[in-house]
Amino acid sequence: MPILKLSLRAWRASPGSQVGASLISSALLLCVALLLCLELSIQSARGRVERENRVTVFLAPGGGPDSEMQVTDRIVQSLGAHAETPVHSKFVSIADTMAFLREKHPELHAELRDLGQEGEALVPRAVHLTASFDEGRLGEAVSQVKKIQGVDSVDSTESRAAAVGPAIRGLQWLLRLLTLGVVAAWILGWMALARSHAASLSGIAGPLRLWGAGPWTARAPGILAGLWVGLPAGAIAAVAYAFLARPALQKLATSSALFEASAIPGVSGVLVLVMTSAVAGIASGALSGSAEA
Amino acid sequence: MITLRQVSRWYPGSTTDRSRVLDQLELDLKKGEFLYVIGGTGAGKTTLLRMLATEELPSSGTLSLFGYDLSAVSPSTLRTIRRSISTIPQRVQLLSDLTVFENISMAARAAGSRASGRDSRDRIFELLEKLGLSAKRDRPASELSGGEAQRVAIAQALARKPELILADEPTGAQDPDSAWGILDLLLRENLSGTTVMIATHDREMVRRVRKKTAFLKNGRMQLHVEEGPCRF
Repeated sequence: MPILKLSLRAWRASPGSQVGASLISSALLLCVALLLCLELSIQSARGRVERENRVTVFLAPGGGPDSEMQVTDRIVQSLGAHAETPVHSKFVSIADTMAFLREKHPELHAELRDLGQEGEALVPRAVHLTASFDEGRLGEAVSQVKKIQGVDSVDSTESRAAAVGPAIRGLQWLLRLLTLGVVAAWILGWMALARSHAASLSGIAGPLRLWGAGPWTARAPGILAGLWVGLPAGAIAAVAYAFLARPALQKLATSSALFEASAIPGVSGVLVLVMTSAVAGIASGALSGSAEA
Repeated sequence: MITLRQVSRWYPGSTTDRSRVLDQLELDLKKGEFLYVIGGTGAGKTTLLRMLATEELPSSGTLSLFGYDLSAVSPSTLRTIRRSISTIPQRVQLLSDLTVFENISMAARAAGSRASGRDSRDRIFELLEKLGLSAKRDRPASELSGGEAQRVAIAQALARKPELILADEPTGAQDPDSAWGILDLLLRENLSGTTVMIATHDREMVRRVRKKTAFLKNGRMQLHVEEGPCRF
């Protein structure tokens, strides 16, 4: 009980600065958490952009709906054998293409319609496929698809990420630098608080050591004093994350296709914030104790 | 219990013989003995007690406590030694946030007191009663006068049930009645087997309670071994 009382000396002497330290620490911690979440989201998006490819397979004219289905199945199976991720496919029929042309290019649509059967033979039927491929495997997959009976031609987007990849990498490095800066500011804040606590608790560790107390008993008031700032800071950061930051990240994930696969931590994120802040408080307390000793 | 062999102490930048605070001290103090250390201001009494309290190490020579050479003890042995020593410093610094009772019980607990909570509390109450501090038991230490704070420091020292008590001017801030009460307490502890060393200016006390006396002058020690009146 006396140790607990001693550990609250800083709160009694200057409650405003302790509250301020908790708020600033929680804000910095929340910033770090947000930046890390964004960085992880971008990492996953970059992976997708760099490895995901779109393959468009144009079917040869002729053949009914049954034939279209069979050819599409064979294409999906052939690509699936080479792909790292499940293959997503979308069949675009003549009717779909005509509907698109009617909306976007009504004159062309009218000309094709006027040609009758001959015009339908000119309208392409295609299967759009999306999947991730290891380096070099896409070319192999495309050449296999070309051999399937009923396939007219194949287009792929092998170099799709060539322009976007470096831009995303640049953004990632910028985020990492920002994270490092905020972490450095957060650590420096804790070091300053450790010094302030050491000054506030001066004259406690010395007598305790001379009375024969162990090193951790002598540091206990400082460690608890750090914890009394770290715990509220972690709790504030956790609440802010749960009610502000997490919904914002979820909105970002739903509104942008790029971030749709982002993993946004829930309860685990809240716990990590509280624990990190508490550990920082304890570490700063141990530091303030050793400074005095 | 205490052995000093050619113990000298000087501070950085003062290595000449003249500026040594303590010079070539020799002392043997056995368990249960009582020793006065007397001398003028700057004679080195406080430095000697600080070394014996393990707050400082000798600059040269060998200082042994409880058979351990202090220059070669492990941290855990040092903690054990410290638990057996109680110091009553000249400048008392209590923990101002704690009450008088908490200050004393914390000192006792830090010493690893194995007494039950009730035994320890009873012992503290008894000491507070003897030192005239019962009424101040639950008051914050910050509200105490210098003399009262010194008596709390004495209660802290005694509550720890040490094997060695090192008291630096323990009656310096006391009125005559309180001073004799404190000396009586220290003598009773000594009778129960605790070794006591008192550094003091109070020659009247030394004359009236005759004990082994060490006289410090210019860092040198002269030991008056016989327990009887000595002339200063």
